[in-house]
Amino acid sequence: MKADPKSVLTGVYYIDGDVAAGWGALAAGCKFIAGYPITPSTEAAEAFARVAPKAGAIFIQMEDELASIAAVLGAAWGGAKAMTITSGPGYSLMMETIGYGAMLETPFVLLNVQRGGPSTGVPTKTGQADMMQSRWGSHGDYEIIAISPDSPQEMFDYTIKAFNLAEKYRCPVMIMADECVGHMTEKVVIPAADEIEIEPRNFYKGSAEEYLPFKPGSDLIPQIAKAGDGLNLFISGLAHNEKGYPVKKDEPRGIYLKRLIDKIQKNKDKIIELKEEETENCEVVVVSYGISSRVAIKGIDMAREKGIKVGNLRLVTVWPFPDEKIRELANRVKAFVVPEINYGQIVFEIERCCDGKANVVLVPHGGAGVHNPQDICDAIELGAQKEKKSEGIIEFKTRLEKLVFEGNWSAKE
Amino acid sequence: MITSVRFAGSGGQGAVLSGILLAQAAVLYEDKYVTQKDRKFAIQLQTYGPETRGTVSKSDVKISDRKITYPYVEIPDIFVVMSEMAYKKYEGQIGKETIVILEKTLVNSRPAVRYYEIPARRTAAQDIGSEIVTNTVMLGALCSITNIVSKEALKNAIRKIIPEDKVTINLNALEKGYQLGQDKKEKEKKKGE
Repeated sequence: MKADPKSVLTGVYYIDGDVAAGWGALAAGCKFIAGYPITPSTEAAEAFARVAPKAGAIFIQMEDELASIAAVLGAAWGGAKAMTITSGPGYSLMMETIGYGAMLETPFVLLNVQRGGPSTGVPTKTGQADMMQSRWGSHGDYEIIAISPDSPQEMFDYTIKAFNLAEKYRCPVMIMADECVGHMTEKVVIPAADEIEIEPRNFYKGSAEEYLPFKPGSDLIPQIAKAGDGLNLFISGLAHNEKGYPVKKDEPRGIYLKRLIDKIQKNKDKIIELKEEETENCEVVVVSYGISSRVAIKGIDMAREKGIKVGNLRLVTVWPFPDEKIRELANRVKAFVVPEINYGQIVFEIERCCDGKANVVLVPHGGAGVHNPQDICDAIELGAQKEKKSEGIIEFKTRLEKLVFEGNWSAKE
Repeated sequence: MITSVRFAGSGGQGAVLSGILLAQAAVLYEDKYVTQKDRKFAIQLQTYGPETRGTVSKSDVKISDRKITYPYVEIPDIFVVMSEMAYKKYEGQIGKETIVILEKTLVNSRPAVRYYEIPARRTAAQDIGSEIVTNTVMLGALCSITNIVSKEALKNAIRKIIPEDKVTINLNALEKGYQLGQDKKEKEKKKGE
């Protein structure tokens, strides 16, 4: 299905990532955003709210984040494509209902423009420390999809992709942006509506008598109903059977969970998108996502000038995690270098997939800024010097850390 | 080739707006760089504190004829500065090749590298009648001194993003700044001879 021309602001613009995401949501057919605007994601909400009425869409400012995400789930079950936008503490507040959404197999999108944390942290500056929370933040076992864009253009493109994935796999999809990408202004090209592919909602088309809201198709994904269209719909956060009723004593209770996991894990090949460059004959691979992937390019260029063979792997899709790709690379490279704006999150996934076959160097960053490319270059050098065996995660100190922790830092610097 | 420009001043002076105008001009209106179907690439990043006014605000712009991968500016090629506090904050990032364009009275310090002092505030107050366009005068001077984008492109950017009732004074301010920059350059030329 093609996008609705009324929702697509075709043209060449010079806008920031937040605005691009707001307009991307509209182009994707989003008809409802509920949110409690928070820095640095506010511009996305504003951008959507400004253009929504003309496209028949609604933005509601709710009383808080709990209400915002609950409204989004309601809108999704009412038949609309829906999204919420948040950051920092707001994301934490949404966690319970994200799990509810996953349990009810509700298609919705959540844009998190990550900022420095924990708590109030550094509201106006960047962070990438919600990556594990996006995967495991709600209680219980579930699967979500998370995408990490690195430019305003991608904020537009991948917001559309996020909606398409949410519809296809009936699960929460997180756009894990960061303040840098959100507040970075760059050229964004919005194509004509007929060039934008939209995944329509997979509504139930059978007879009302045979309808079972959680009966999966061969792709493990059930067709969805719209509240109020006459079908017998029972949805509950309790462990439920295909009819949607709470499982009874004589039914196997945990078995519903397997499909929630499998519908993502077994479709991984179709979901995961990676960007790979010069990984064929390299000694070291830099794995990064979001803004760090752009900073990494400079570090990689610096290391290549020194004659080190460096590959670049960018995780566009962070969850589900590309285990197979990392395993395959671990067989032939000496080390992985992982710059992320936190003290180690995705690096542990990489270490797990390495399975002792390669070293892993974390280039940490406490947030409120991005890496010094020189640090990434140094980490690459460190990785290249090592033997091809595993010492686990190798300790690496950035220049700033050395300066501060060796007592040579003054406020002026 | 990539050219980086840093605008810095006190919050409220329009450093961020100047950055957006410059980048917008390059991306949307700069015809001399039309090579394929794309115009120039530009990226703009800003820093500010939680306060709205009074503290230092900064806006970095990178302009290139190719796609820009690394978006940050460490040592800018051109540094446009409108307050002493901002000058002090970014003094350490003035490189040997950096061209500094400073507001004559608002910045007291002078760098050891090539610099141009522009009486932008006085011009804005006396000739335009409003100090609020000081930043646009600086932008005009930047344009004539460096030729980084054309004056026409900047005018189009002003028409696009400045509220309608403020377009005329900004266009005038740009013109005045352009003149000031040109005068400075000519003086420099004569000195050289």
